[in-house]
Parts: sequence; structure tokens; C-alpha cells
Amino acid sequence: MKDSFIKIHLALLIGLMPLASQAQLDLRLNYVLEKLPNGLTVILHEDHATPTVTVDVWYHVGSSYEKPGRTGFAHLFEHIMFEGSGNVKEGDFDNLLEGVGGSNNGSTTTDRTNYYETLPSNALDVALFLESDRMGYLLKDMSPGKVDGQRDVVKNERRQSYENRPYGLAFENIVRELYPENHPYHWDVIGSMADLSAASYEDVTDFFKKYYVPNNAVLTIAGDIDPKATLERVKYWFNEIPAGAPVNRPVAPNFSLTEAKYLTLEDNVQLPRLYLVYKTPATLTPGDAEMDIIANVLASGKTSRLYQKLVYELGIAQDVNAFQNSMALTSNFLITVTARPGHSLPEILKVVDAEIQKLEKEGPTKREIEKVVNQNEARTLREAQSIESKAESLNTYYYFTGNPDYLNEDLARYRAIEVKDIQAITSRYLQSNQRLLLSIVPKTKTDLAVAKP
Amino acid sequence: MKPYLILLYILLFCSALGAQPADRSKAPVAGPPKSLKLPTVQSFKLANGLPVYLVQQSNLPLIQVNLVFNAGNIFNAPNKQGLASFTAELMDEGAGARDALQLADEINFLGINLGVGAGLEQLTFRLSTPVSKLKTSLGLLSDILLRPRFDPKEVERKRTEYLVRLAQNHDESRFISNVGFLEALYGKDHPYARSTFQNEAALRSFKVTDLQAFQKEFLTPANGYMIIVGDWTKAAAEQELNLLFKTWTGSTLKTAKINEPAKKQGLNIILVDKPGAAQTEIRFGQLGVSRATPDYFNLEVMNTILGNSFTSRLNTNLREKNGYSYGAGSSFFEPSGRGYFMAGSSVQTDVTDKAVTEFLKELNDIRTVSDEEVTKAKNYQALSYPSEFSSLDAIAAKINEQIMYKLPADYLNTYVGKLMQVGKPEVEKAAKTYIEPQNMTLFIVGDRSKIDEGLKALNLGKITYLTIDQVLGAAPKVENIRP
Repeated sequence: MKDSFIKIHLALLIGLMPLASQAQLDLRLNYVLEKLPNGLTVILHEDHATPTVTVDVWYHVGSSYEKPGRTGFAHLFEHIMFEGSGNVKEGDFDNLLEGVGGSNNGSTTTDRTNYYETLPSNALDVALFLESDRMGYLLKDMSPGKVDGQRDVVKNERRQSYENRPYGLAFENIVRELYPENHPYHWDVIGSMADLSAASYEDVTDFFKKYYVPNNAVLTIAGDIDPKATLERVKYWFNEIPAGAPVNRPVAPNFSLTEAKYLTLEDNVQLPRLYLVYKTPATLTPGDAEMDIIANVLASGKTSRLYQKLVYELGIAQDVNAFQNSMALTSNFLITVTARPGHSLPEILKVVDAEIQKLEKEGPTKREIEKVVNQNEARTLREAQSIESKAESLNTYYYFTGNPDYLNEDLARYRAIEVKDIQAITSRYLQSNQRLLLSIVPKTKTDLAVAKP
Repeated sequence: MKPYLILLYILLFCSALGAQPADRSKAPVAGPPKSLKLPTVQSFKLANGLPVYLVQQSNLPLIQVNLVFNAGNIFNAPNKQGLASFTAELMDEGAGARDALQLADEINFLGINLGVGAGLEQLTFRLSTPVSKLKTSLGLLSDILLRPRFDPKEVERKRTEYLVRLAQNHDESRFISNVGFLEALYGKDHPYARSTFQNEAALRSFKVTDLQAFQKEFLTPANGYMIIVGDWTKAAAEQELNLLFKTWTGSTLKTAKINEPAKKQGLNIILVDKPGAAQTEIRFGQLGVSRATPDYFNLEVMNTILGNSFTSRLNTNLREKNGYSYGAGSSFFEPSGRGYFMAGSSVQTDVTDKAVTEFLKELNDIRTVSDEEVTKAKNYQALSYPSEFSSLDAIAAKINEQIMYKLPADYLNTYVGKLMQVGKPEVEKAAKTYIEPQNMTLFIVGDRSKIDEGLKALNLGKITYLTIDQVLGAAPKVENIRP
């Protein structure tokens, strides 16, 4: 993320067409999709609820595209994109947007980098000018000084959001242990301090030429627009940018966990926390939706199985979370539990494993599955209020399925799942001898950790 | 749709042929802003006296209901601090015919959002529901409002959870600095300084009878109001709600008396040692104004320039120019009583002293601004105003602000106009009046062994050293209470 301290006002109004609101939600996002001659994909969505528009550009590059010794580079590059371009002076990217009442930000994941502006619809041209200028002419005004400036900012982002946060270094340790060294998910998006220091000016120019080309980008505009006229403005600003060489998505080596891996870290924390991590199916592939349901059944809400057992009944844990972290190449599934004072992580683990076995053996109830379906649909309605959410949704589904309006198909996955499917997927992916067990314990309290038996 | 497609093909073809480069010699100028259709508020009273404010908006089958009471944590006695929050927390731990688990299961199964929470001044029930689930949702809302069980077993369970959380707060530099800053500014016992749960003794003292008494005294129709935004007509809402709340009565409007905190002279510097901290938390600030201040708009514009935008002076200096931090900013907290100004950042440990110097520079320099800065700040706030009406709960929050602080009926309509009237003289006067770095509190949380020497060398005055325990209280010893 580019900003942290300043509150960004997210979310605007509507434009989805609820076709049936009672028994089954059927939502269709109206959209126009065009490909410009230089390969830029343009997706336009009309929603006139407020006189506002979101411009959301995805570049299909994330940390999984980085080369060895340059971890964190895709994210550092994201920062550099805000520092001005051929026709935009340093600082003017934000000056111009604020001057017309716009806000902006960007974010980097393993698989993609996004940039968005939300602004009054009368000022759409300003956003198109800025986005096209950095897509076409970033290097015209690039300097080693700019790279150094953002390197310092990103290092402070790492300190603030990871190093100075309790348990903040868990994730980079998890991916390092979970994925083999030659796997594109072996390092975390934020990267290491050493690699951030090593990133050079040449890295910036190479990365830009290779990945920041129109044929590797999707420009989505959602909000108060006339699609026909907007497409003309898009062409005006973007047609002159030459296409680059085709970009290949990274390929992941096949791997499987053949035994349980154990890792212990000490941190400045009061309470020990256990992380169980499993390798699970990639986003929108078979098994992915089941894992979402399993996460919900195990740890979402007071009546979820792990919360009810560990926190509510036994009182040996302070909190429980479970999450299917869906990604393009392969996903991971995380269960985290923080122990209460006087309780150890092995004690926690025993309860967690018993609940997973129970789920495998007996399956969830039909009501537990139906609950997830209901929550998905209510959440979809709430998110439909925001043109930023809708632009992200169009971009996400386009990237992963080629169909921007895949929302209904996505929701339908959950409706089709039966009790036995959950049992099968639990059995296949949540095996105790195929996972990583990370214990984060207070300094010198390694006796609270789960040790290798 | 065929003709449309053909037209697109032609356009595509033409532009590919004659790709004229765009004119980039100067940034495009935005056209005239379109007008925003502001929400129309309809108001009525239920038979029991509860005022209701309704905005009907039907573009999605969703409804937001906020039931708001003058029952925030400022109403608690000093030895019962946090009682409002604790009561709110327990209201949905079993109510009516359902115990805590059954109630949670029902809410989760419906997929609705329904919860209760207390802040400084208000206690609010929030419901967000699809229209299709409205009736069931309202039944649950009335259960947790009127028939909470306050089961002793659940009270003990929550108490343990919060005691453990008190201990966990000791890990968080940001939390320590925000709490410590307010204590230093207002004095530990002032209601505005009491963060919700930082007092172990009070937390241990809450009895079921305290919660019941709080509910009885504060959660009455005369002491609250309801805001509804969404796909619901006034007629239907009026009928449904009157039926639902037929038996709910009560007639006392509560107002809290907030003592005037003592204004401090001189720079008050406090350093809390957090060994091994990877960054230093810096907070600069002083007592400020209430929401009723006639300077509201002047302060909005001034603070946008100083620290409430990405291009603000503080962020530009600390982040973009010097790279000391991931971000820096400032804000005015403007409640019903005396509020405060706070500027802050998390900065790299080894430049803590330099960052303090830069903060002081910006806090002093803000007394002079340029016309361009004023224009840009006004445009930023005025033109982004529509985005503050972007969702049902955002609209509800706007209406709540208007009611809570008794703002004029035309407040939302006149907001932009009043903002645009602010000029450079008003901004500079506001800065001179409300930003006095020489009389501020400077609160720092970081690794003392690495930052103390540099801070002393700045010669800003005496530094008071505190431990984390002195700010938050010792981390509670939590017995293993089996619920």
C-alpha cells in the first residue's frame, strides 16, 4: 500500500442489477470490454448513483514475478509509480488528484499490482492522463534519487507493518518454510531489507520495460460514465503507448509437503500463538471454495467449531482464525490460535486436531454450509454499494477467468457444495503430516512451543 | 446492440490508423462538477417517543438501521470506567429466547451484520440487512435491546477475554502512545482520557446488576434516536417499528457534564521505553475545540494543508522528502466537549530526534500558508464531498453527526459553500490560535537506549520517563477462569 496514516475514504454507490432478491441472489455487472491495438484491455462499468468514478489499473505482475535477490521489488516499484512521469512533475500525481477532489492508492500481491483513483466524474480525464503518462513515460523522468526516496519509505513500511507489529514476521517465515526455494511464493511481498537495499536504478528500468506494458495491463473504469465517450477518451490517452513483448505468467514447480515441518520464533509478545499452514488448491480451482467453507466452519463466529471449543468452552485460547489464502499458482490455508496465559501451544494443537478429524469423519451440517452461502450473498450486496469494490471484482475475475462478470459463477460454487465434498477436501488437504507448524512465543518461552515429536 | 458494436469497430479502426499522440503539455482541466443529490431525511416519532430519521434509497435491496443512545463511556463513574462498552458487549451474548450461542448462530446464519458498541459519547446498535431478512433481523434487534440475558457465565467469560486483552495491549506501541498521549493531555481521570478498557480494577468490579442498571437508566426511547437508510418506506417503517417497540418506554434524556481540562503551558515531553521497538511512535498535540467551534471550517482547511492529505506538509516532509516514515499526519478530534489536536507518525528509530525537529518545524511554519495551498485544500475537501455519501452506513454516519452535535438543518447542503468561503487570513489565524508547539505535549514510545541521547541533545526541555506499566497499568494476572 502506498498510504497508511491518512484515512482513505473508500466505497461509493451502486449500479448492480439485482434480478431476484428473495430466494437466490442473481447479480450481473453490466460491462463493455475492449482491447486496444497495443493490447491494453479496457473494461467499463456504468453506475450513476453518485457523480463519481473509479479508475482501476491492474498490471499482471506481483512478487511471484521477482528474480532472486530482489524480493520486495514489485512492491517497491509500485511506490515509484507515484513519483511522477514524463509529463507529471514529482509530487504532482497527488497534487493534481487532490486538486480535483480525488483519492488514490495502490497495492501489490503475489500475483498482481493495482493502482486506483476515485474522483468526481467530471475529472475523469485527469486520472486517465496520469495513468497513461506513467504507463507510457515513467522512465523519462526517472532518477536514482527517486528510487532511493521510496526505498526508505518502503523500509519504514516494513518496520511499521511487520517488524514493529506483534507476530508481524510470521508470514515471511511461513512462506519461506512452506514453499521450496525455487517456488515464486517462497518470499513475502514486502521483501527483505537486504534485497530492498540491493534494488538498483537498472532494476527499475528493466522491470518497467518488461512488465509495465499495455499488453500486460487491464484498465477498468467503474462509475458515472458514458461507456462510448469514455472509450474514446481512453483511446486518446493510451493508444500512443507502444505494446511490449508478451509477458508470461510465472510457472510454479510442483511440490508437496511430505512431512510435518516445525518452526519456533521468539517475539516481543505476551502470549504464544500457533500457526498451522497447509498447501491448498489455487483460487477458483476445484477445492478452493470448499476450503473457504472449512475456514468458516472452523473459525468464523462464536459458534464456529474451533472458537466454540477453544475460547468459549475451554477458555484456553484468546482468539482463533482460519483463512483460505487464495492465490493464482497455489493457495495456503492458515489456522491461527493465540493461547491464554497458563496454556501451551501443544495443548491447543490437540484440540484443533481433534476438531479437524471430527470434520473429516462426520462432515459439517447442511446448516453450516448454508450459512456461508447466505453470508456470501449478503456481503456481495453490501460490496455492490462501492464502485471501487466493483472495479476490483471486474479486474479480479478477468485476470483469473477471462470473464469480468464471473460473480454469479463464483457464488454458485458454494451453493453446489455438499457435506461429503467438505469431508473429501478436509481429508485430502488437512493432513497432520503435511503441514507447517509455526509457534511464536514470548522471548525465552520456547517451552510453550509445539516441538517436533 | 449491433449498431453500437459497428460504431466501436469503426472508431477502433480509425484510431489505430491515425494514432495522434495526446496533448500532454499540461494536465487536463476538469469540467464543471456535477451536483450531488443529497439524501432527503424524513423524520417522525414512534408512539413511545423515539425519534426516527429515515432516508429512503432503493437502488439495492439493503437496509441500514442505527439505534443510537446518549450512553457512551463518558457517562460512567470514574470507578466504573468502561461500563458502557462492557454492557454493550454483553447485550448480544444471549437475549430473549436464545442463549449466547443460539443468538450468534442465528445472526451468522442470516448473513446480516448486527452488533452493539459504545464509544466516548454514544452507544449504538448497528444492523445491516438485506430487505429479505428485515423482519427476522428486527426481531433480533429488539431482543438484544430489550431482553438481554446478562447471564453471569457470559459476563465472566467476557471479563476474562478483556483482561487478557489488557495484557496484550502492552505489545502495541501504537496503542500505548495513543492512550498515554490522552492521559498526559487531559489527566488520567478525565472522561476523554479514559480509553474503554484500560482499567483492570473497574473491569474486575462490574456486576450483572451494574449492567442491568446501565441498560435501565440509559437505553430508553427518550435518550436515543434511530437512523434508517435504505430500501424501506416511511409508512412501512413507522408501522413495523411501533409494533416492535410497543412495550418499550422510558423518559429521561441524559446529558454528561464534561469538566474543562487544565490548559498546559510549556512543552511537556514524555518518553515511554519499549526495548527492542523497531520504530518510534511520536505524538504531538494540545487541547483543541468542541464540534460547536465557529472555526470548524477554518480548521478543516488548515489541517488539510498541515496533515490531513497525502500532499500535506507533514507527510511530504516526513515521508516524501526525508523518508523517515511510511506516513505522517494530523487531526482534530472535535467532540461535544473540549477536543484536541494531534499530529503523529511512526518513524525509523535512528532518526527519532530528526523527525521531532521536522514536526516542530512544520507545526511552527503552518502559521504562514500560500493562496495555492488554500485553494487546493478547499477543492480537495469540497470536490470529494460526494464520496462521503457512498454507502448506506456512510450516509447514516453523516446524519448522526448532524443530530449528535445539533448542527443546523441545512448543514449538509451548506457544507461546501461554507468551506469555499475560507480564505488565507482565516487559515493563518486558525493556525496561530490552535497550533502552539511551545505549549504542546510530545509523547514518544520507543527504544530509550537508542533514542534518548538524541532527544536530550535537542534541548527542548525536561523529559519525563515512564514505563509501559505506568501508562497502561501492570498487565493483569489472568487466572484460568473456566467459564
